[in-house]
Amino acid sequence: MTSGLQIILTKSSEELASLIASYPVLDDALQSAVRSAAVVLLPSTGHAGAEVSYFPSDTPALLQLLQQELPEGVRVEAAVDEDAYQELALHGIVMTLATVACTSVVLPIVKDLLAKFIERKISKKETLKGATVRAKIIVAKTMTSCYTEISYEGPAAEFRKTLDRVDAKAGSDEIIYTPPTLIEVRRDEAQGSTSRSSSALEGLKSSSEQAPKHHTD
Amino acid sequence: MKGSRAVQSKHPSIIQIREQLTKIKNDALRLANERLAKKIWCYETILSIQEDYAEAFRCLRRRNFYKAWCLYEKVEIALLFLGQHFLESNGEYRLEFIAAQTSKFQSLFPYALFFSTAILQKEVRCSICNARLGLRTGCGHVIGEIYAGKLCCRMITDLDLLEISVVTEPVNKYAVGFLKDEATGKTLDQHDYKLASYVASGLVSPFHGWEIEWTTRREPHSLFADLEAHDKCPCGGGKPYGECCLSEEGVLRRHAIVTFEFRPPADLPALVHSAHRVRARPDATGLP
Repeated sequence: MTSGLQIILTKSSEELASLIASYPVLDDALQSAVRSAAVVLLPSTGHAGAEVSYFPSDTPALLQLLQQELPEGVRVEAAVDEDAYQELALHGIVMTLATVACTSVVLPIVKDLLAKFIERKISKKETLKGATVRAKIIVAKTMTSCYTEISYEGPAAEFRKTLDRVDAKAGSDEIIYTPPTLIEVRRDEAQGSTSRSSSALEGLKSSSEQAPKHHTD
Repeated sequence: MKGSRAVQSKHPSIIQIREQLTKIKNDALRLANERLAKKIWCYETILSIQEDYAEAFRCLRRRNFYKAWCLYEKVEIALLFLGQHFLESNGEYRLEFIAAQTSKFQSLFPYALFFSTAILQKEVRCSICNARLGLRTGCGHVIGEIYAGKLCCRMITDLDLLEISVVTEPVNKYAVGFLKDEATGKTLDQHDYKLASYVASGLVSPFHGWEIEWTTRREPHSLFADLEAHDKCPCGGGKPYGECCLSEEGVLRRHAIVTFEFRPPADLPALVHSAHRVRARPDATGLP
């Protein structure tokens, strides 16, 4: 479990569509569904020296949540054949989410649904309250634009608040992270004394003291 | 790593209750009464929790510490699943007490490092209908829900073990590391159970309350006379003894203050790192 919080934004020169196409899907119908989807779950590759392609635990539940909650017409798919689907179960208290690729128009709702997914898991299992979340969102203005990779690793309780600070820059395709100002941190701390739980307040302090790392390559 | 085994009481009255519950559940299932079957599952689980909690205490008293640890973990998991279906209104089953005490008993164990596996799950099936589950293909059964009086779980039927790592915050607390005697092949228990042992011997029943408060205090240097100045300081700070506590009036150590609800046995042994306070209850029944 890591105690710090890290959010890294990495800009790529590759188009989102070609990244998605690089994941082999043999079934023709599924391949076409993946190509037309606005939100795509991508597998991770390689673990502990083994050349494996996998999704983290509980990905079916995440896919189901996205299918149910994304607005009508916004299609979601996973870039994996049903027979090839396998999960990696890591039994430490780290909540790893499947990588989500999407266009920037649906980024706000994707962020919200990922946060909702984490919050639901925590509400079911008390021990996950202190868990570290690892999540990656790959976003581009359109499928044919170059993408930005947003990687989050930090406390589950900080996920929503931190991702709320990541968005498309007004009037531009660029995805940016806006760190909280000192005034905002103090205001949040002051509110915390009346409306926030102590654990949330501790999280707020840690995020302000250990400023999230923000890289743009 | 060691494993744990299920506890089933051989006490006649417990066996009788268990048999009665099974009979009611079977009758409910014959009548397709899912609601009653679910209720009986709750009572069966409560009984198991109470039995395991009591057995864990007996294990502590018998100095079978690892088994006690596994039973507390089992109790914790069972309470988690039960909590989704059963709300105790008046504390008659003492579930809240058991949950709180289990957590406190766990805090007495010295285990700090655990083995954690990374498993590639290639085939997963539903424990209720045995259907193979995929990313898009489910069977409709929900993990943690009760069907036909049984808890729904996922069974991993094909897997690759990718790695075993050592972690401090495991999801599965059973996987504690033990040393092995290379000559005899026997498992050695290198852990220090002084505190767990102390609390267990200070309690007459697992259903008697106790509290633990962690503070620090200076221990006399005479207790650490075998250490040299260049050895690591026994305070655990990481610096050499000579550069840390040696120049102080004593070694700063964690100190546990245990408060028993009922007076503990008179022959409770002294413990270097603990002290006890007793809230006197001379009128309480069952006191030694």
